[in-house]
Amino acid sequence: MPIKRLSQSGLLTFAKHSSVLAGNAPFIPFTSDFELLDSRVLSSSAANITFSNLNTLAAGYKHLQIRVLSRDTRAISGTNNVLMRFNSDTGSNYRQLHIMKGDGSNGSTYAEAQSSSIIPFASPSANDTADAFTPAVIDLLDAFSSNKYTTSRTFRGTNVAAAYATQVVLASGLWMNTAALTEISFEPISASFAAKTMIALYGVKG
Amino acid sequence: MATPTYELIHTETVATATSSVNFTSIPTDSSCRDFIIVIDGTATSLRPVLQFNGDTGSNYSAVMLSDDSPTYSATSSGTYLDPIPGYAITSRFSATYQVLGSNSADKHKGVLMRVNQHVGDHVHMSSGRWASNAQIVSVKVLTNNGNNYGVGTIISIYKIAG
Repeated sequence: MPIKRLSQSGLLTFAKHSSVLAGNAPFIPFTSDFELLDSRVLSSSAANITFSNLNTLAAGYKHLQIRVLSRDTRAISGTNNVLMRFNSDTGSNYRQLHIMKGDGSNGSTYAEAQSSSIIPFASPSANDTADAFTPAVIDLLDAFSSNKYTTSRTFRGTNVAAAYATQVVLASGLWMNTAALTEISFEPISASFAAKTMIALYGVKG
Repeated sequence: MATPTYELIHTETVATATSSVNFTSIPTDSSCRDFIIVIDGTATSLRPVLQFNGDTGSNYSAVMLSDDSPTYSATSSGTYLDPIPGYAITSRFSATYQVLGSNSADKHKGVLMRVNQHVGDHVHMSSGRWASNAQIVSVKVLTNNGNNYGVGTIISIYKIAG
């Protein structure tokens, strides 16, 4: 613990102290309940983005939040789904998506059956408005529990003038496995994430 | 030692009814990858809208889904970022804007918005885009029609490192 005030240190007052704090208040390092764990900003396209070793990277945190600005290289105009998987599980152990969506002129709800991934968001593609990215915020609650399935909640939107590319979405997903998360991977359903895509992982205490 | 990740930049409590509050000196370093604006307010007839870096050009677009029947709308080439086109807030409301990629100098900014409107009992969610690659250094919280935010309205801005 650092001594912050010499006037209380005994060096100037010759006072004797039974503690090395010498009359100073304890110095408590800043701690955060919402902390950046890892951040990726692509300098070139990449087939996937994976956060590994979560058991050590996120030790001490209960929930995870993932904040995204995503775009991909698929040579189309319109959004391209992104797959999210946990712990390298490629089996049919997910409920892909349950969504509530508005596209500017219509609304829809949708649920999909068992699948081999969750689809938390979709990205603008190579032929869409330049430099436009999908913002998404994904919450994984109690991500390290070993006695319940892992669920995801996503709020995201896309605002480019193409088919299926103007939308605001609230979505949930499910991984039907009680294992604690050790890895999260994201992968466009075709092509790659485009350069400048950003995905950051945060830990939340609980 | 943990790095401060989610920090209050500034909070403003409206003391005299006003139609705009300007937040300047928003960091452009890694301490502010995203920022969040939270409004807990009162109004007579307005929509709470945003402009970045003083940009009054036609560079804002948004798409909204509302519980109101429900209602859908999309705007493009707006001169401000409007989370609830077509609505007028006449009493208590709360609004949250998550601005992603604030410090990026190479991409458009994405904004996720929610508005709760107590008269009319509506909840709205929307997504917006500011078509600019400029790093955000200021944000103006204004109203769509020049009407004032009520006294006691609290507007706060937080930054998220990344």
